[in-house]
Amino acid sequence: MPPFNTLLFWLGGVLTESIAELTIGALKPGFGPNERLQWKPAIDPLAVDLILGLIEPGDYCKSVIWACSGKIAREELEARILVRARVRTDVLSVIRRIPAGYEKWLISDFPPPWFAELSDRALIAEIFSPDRMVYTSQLGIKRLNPDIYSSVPAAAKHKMNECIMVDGGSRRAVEGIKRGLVSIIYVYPAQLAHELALQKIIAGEVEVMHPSSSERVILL
Amino acid sequence: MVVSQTLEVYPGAGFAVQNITHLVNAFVASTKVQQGQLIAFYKHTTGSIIIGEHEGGIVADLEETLENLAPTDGAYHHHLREVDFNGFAHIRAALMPTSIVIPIYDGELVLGTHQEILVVDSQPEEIARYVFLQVTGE
Repeated sequence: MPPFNTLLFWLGGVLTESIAELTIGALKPGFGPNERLQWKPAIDPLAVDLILGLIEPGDYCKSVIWACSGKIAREELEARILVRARVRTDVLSVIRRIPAGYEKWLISDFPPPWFAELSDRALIAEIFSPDRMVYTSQLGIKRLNPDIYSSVPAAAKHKMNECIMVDGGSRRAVEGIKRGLVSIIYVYPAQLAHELALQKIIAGEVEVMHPSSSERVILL
Repeated sequence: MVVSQTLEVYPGAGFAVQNITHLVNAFVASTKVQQGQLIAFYKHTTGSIIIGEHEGGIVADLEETLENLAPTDGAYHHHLREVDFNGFAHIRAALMPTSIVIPIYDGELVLGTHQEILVVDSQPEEIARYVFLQVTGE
């Protein structure tokens, strides 16, 4: 029996871009550093409120437009966010390698109406069955840190020490570890595969030494 | 042959560790250099560039260690001039390197399995940070 039997994958930040990133891109496709630095501090807290279900998607878009002095209609922003929310198929390829003995749960930080509108929803459904989804907006928590780290395992009916959370938010993942929830910081697919191999969840593909790093001289 | 590029990164506000391995790998691949070396130079005084394992527990331990060595709410002479109040970030940065060198062999960085290229910065506000990359080789 492995020490961990349940893997919890965030939708935003792992399977897709995060809600904040999608929103900035929807406000201004091809955005630059100025937009990012100007808008992100305003969008981040609103995105957290959306993730927690404290505001509705429509109100989120309205507040973002107001905070960023956007010139588009609320409906247009919402539509653009959903169009941009494409699933990272290379991440799905890694997740598919996880043996069936492990429970795979999806943490949807997208509210249910948004998740229902995702064009790649079928790809996600191939891996995550509907009864293994947790909507953060339905957890009834008022803050992410620290409540999310206990409430998601509880919603999946597992103890915290049975779970590994895969999170695209570096800060959130580190805070999870400080609270006792083992977390993998997602950066890119090969690194995710490496982390899962380290846990012996999937077979590793790389040698400890660089596979082609010159001729080796072994001193016995 | 010498090829250079500057990466613009956003580590985040406060203590942050950003993994840039995939970005550096992409740059090295684009140069087509087969045998040589890469220099990555961090152009700031509130952070560093290191080679380390990007594991959340290590990040948490590093943060706590740096907090013990140079506390965020400590008193720093640097604050006397009242320009900025990031003395802790400068002291932490002084403890770690601002550049790394990695060999390139057969077109790839010779990184060990657990070795990732990490930017570590403690600047209180999120601002753009620049990493100068230079590949030398043939």
